[in-house]
Amino acid sequence: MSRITLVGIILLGCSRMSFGQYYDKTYSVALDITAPLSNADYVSQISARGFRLGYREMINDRFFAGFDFNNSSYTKYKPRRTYSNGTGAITTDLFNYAYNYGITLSGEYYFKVEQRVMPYAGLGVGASYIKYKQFFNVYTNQSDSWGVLVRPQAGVQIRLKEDSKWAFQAALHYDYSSAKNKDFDLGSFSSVGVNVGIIMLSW
Amino acid sequence: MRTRLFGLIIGFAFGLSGCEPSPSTEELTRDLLVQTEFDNAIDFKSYNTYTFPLDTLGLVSNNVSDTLILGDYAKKVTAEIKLNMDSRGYTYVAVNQNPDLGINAFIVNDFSVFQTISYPRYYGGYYSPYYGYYYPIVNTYASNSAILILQLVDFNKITSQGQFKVIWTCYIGDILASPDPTQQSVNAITQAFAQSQIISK
Repeated sequence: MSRITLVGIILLGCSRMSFGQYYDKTYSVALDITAPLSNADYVSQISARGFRLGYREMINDRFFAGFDFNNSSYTKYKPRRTYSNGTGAITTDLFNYAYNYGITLSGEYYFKVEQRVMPYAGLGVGASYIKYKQFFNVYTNQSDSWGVLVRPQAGVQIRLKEDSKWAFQAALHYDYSSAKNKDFDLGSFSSVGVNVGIIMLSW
Repeated sequence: MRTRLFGLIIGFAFGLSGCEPSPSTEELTRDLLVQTEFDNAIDFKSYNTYTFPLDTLGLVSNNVSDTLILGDYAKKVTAEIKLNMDSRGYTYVAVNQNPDLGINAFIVNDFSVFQTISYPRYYGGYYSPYYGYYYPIVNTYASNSAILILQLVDFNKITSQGQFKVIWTCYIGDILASPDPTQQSVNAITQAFAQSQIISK
């Protein structure tokens, strides 16, 4: 048996190793990288420095529920141009910003439990607050909106060893916020993202 | 120990995110903002001559008592205005030669000071057996901005307030935040006329 095959068998064995579920609460913090899917004329750049904080309690072996708080900031630079409206015109470049905050009641269903790698799918529902800010020279326009936030997501929780009090998580999520804004003529806000972080397991 | 570490990680996440980033001053002040507005009822082709004081700008300020700006900035700004008016077919004349149009070119400087009061631990002057008295913290802020305003006025039309009718206005700002106010103002005046093609013989 070659050395590569032997290593493969060992790794496969490890991945199927059964892990005891000895925690009933989790606290998580994750880097959240998100891309806006709507209002592309206002913001289009990926938010690479967002974050998400989460707390969960075990409902049963497969289901955890709690809340999340998240923040992300989207931007778009619009180069200098002239905007005309009949008898008036204004020439400037624009720095568009959207600061998103969300708080959701969230729950996850784990398809596998007591495993090193535990895939899950979940849903979060809560409130979304978006502050729109447009910078031009030393001047700013600002407006904000509240809306309902719905966040389906799927991911994995990974523990490196059985008695670890820490775990890693990675998830894909889609966010829909009903927060529209009349001042900036913007519709509801949606985004897709990836979050990668750590979970503190507690009991 | 574990909770502290987790707290540190959360703090790091907040710090990395910055929650509400914003563009730098350098990015914001690369060019001046130029805003123009004209009177749609005016036939700009009907005018022939104009006048205004060369080498001098007016100053309206709540910070200094001067009412005029002289020197290199005023010279270059007024020269650029004249260059653009001439290129549009209007003729510069002295004020005693009965010009059709006048130009007001002046800077409005707004210097503001404001204060905020914050109460640490919610109550100013409140006594705590643990921490003693708390007092409100007063923060003082100042803002200073300046806008270059150009107005084209019709010397043959008097408003009901007894003033010459303004037929075109231009706002250029912010002069004080500009890293190169003279050159940027000159560029902005060129832009003001470029976006006001109606000003033409």
